[in-house]
Amino acid sequence: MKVKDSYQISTQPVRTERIDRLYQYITSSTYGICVERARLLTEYYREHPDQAPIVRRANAIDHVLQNMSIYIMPGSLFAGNHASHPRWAPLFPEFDAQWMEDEMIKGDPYFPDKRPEDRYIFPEEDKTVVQEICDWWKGKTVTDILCTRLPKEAVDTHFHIKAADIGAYFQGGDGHFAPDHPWLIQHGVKEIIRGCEEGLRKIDYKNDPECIKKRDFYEAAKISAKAVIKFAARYADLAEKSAAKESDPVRKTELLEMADICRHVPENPARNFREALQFIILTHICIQIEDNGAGISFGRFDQFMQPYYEAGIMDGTLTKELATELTENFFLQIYTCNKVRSWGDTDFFRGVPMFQNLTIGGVDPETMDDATNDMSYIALDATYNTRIPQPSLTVRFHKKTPMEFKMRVAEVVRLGTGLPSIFNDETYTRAMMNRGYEMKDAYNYCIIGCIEPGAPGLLGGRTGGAWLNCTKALEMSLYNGKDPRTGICLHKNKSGKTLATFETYQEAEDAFVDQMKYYIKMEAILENTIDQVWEEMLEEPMAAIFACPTTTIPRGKPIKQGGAKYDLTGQQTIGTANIANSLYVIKKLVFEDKAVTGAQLQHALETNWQDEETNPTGPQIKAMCLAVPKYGNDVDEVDFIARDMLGMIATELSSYKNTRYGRGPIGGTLHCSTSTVSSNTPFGHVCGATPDGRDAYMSVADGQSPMRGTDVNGPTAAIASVAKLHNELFSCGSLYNMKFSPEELS
Amino acid sequence: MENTVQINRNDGLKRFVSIIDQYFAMGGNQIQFNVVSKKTLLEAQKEPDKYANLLVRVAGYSAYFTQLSKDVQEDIIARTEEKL
Repeated sequence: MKVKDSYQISTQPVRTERIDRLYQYITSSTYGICVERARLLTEYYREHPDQAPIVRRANAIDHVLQNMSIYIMPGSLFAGNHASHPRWAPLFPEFDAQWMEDEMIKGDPYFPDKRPEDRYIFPEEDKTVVQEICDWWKGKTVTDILCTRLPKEAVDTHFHIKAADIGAYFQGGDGHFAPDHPWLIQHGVKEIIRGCEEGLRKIDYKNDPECIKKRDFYEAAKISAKAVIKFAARYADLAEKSAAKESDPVRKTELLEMADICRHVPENPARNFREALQFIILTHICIQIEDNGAGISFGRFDQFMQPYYEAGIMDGTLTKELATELTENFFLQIYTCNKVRSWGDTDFFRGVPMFQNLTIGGVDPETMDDATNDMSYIALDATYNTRIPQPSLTVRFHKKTPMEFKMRVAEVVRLGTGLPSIFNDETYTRAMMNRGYEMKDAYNYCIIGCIEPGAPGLLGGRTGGAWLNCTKALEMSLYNGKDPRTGICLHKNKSGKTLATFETYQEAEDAFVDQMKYYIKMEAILENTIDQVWEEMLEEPMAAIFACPTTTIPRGKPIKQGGAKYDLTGQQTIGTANIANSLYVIKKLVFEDKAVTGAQLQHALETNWQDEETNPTGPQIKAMCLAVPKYGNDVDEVDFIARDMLGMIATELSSYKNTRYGRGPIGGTLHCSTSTVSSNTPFGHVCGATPDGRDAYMSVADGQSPMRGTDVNGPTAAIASVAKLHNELFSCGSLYNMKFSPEELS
Repeated sequence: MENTVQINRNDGLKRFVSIIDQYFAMGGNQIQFNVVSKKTLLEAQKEPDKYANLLVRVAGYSAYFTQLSKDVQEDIIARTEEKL
């Protein structure tokens, strides 16, 4: 294998013995399912039916944390595990137990270890436990309640037509926030407990109509904060026991240090670099155990770690090499976290992603100068050397980013692991300020989940949400609102026409816009019903105190009651390239060139380009459609359709309020992202042939990238097209995939 | 200009950085890359065990190529391989 085929395959990483051993240890562990969390949580819920929902939840998670298996990985300098083995996934039956029963007990459609991909070991002896868990949760889960509470139109949209899919949040929990790590490591969890006690003392039982809700919140928040401290103490005990048995004196010292650290953090402020990392691991893991949400971000890692790095270098306790090793150890530690989804939902999340994003670079929001520092380079080195998919490394670029740093970023990109992804401060901050962010908070953004911006410690809601299948909306607009695959018609075109009967291009575009707006309304109903049900059943104290401690605690409100400074509901808009290319084909071929009639094109779509009896034939019509210029080649006519349609979608989305609007936070609406995960594949599976020349059921385009293989005029033309979009409207982030041959970067 | 055609081993990287700069100057928001040849991906499909550690960018995350479903693998293979 030559370097020019893949730098990743042809080059060897530089790792210390410790890091290499940990890498081997973790990657040799196969994905598996751990029933401990589900069993312990169910045990608590079953035995304590009478508590306030938020208090019951805090206690149930405490019960999990105090009784789940804990272990210390060989050679690791950090403690903290998510499940019984590295990369095993806990279960969250309170969200959805039906899929667990179907798959783990009945093997429908597959047993977890028999899946075609994304397989998980599932011990045979755990079947009985899962059956008991499922039996108890029947009729009580979030999904059970949602299926009753959602209007039929929204159910059809999600389950049948698949014009929007929000399965991840049926099965999930929010996730998708950046905890206030800088505040937490500086104050310690004890400050949260102090804040809650003060809040409890100050409750105005005479005048405050929310006094009881506040009391419940503070009680729950205290339980959660103390649970994390007790969880850390369990590791301290284990480290001491392991040290007593350890024959290697070096390892013995490491374990005793670990015990000391875990007795100190996260209760107290971190005293040094290693303690800060240990603090973050423990809070991060507790958040991951509270719910099944993904996308828990580490915020601006280089910014809040740099003072600890500098202090360690100054007092001689740290070297660059040791800081790098600790950072790599930290990366490997969090790589052990994993979450499993139902087989159906897995289609949207191929390759077991966890979206544990970590941001470096950018500007200092106070001085507006470049903020690149030693830790920015160390994080790049750690990604280069560990060569694991987590954390998802993000780099912020701006006008003053040093060339040296950009070149190092380019070297890491050249490795070909897909990391880091690169973000433009100028446009991202403008997009955020357009949704009400103050400038200093916008310039302090980090990336959450895939590509979504948020101010760490200040953003509630979730940056993820439903996938919106724009290609499906387009397809239905061609058939007077009817979904040709299922035959369901929820919303007829205003004109009552089809592609065969549109008299002008404008009629076709208007029909698409109308269908799109209807399905955006369905998405908003799905998003807000889920949030409403969570607020009633599953308020999350752990997320509240770690995501936004500086607002939730003074206000006495968890996130879903309006506890965050900013609160926006994110989502993912899929298929930009397909809608733009399809509309342009209709405009050009049918109405400008009159090369085919609308009826001919519609017939070709309905027969998936297969009908050889027509004149022109199906394959000929497909060739004509493919020959029309596509988005991604710097052709204004089609690029402007992409710009205007995606702009319309973004504007429409943000006109819908979320359930926190007017309850405290700034924002309080939905907003648009072009993140995809792997949804373009399952969304393609439900969409018939489209006028852009795409075959029926083939994957649609990813993100706001050109449709794969159709950007044929070089990278300069491709970036010009993508940059033409109304990027400042995508306040929930943009996703653009580009691929290079390795030899181009030599 | 007349005297040298210097072989600078970082020329490709510099061109790569300037593409990002150009994209951001035009108002682009975000970009991420796969840097891998089609040949490698096709070989990885044929011999998954040999390429078990090969990471690729799917969308807003990276994953092991050989663990992806065939559809997602094909999506990544079919993406345009740009030239600088």
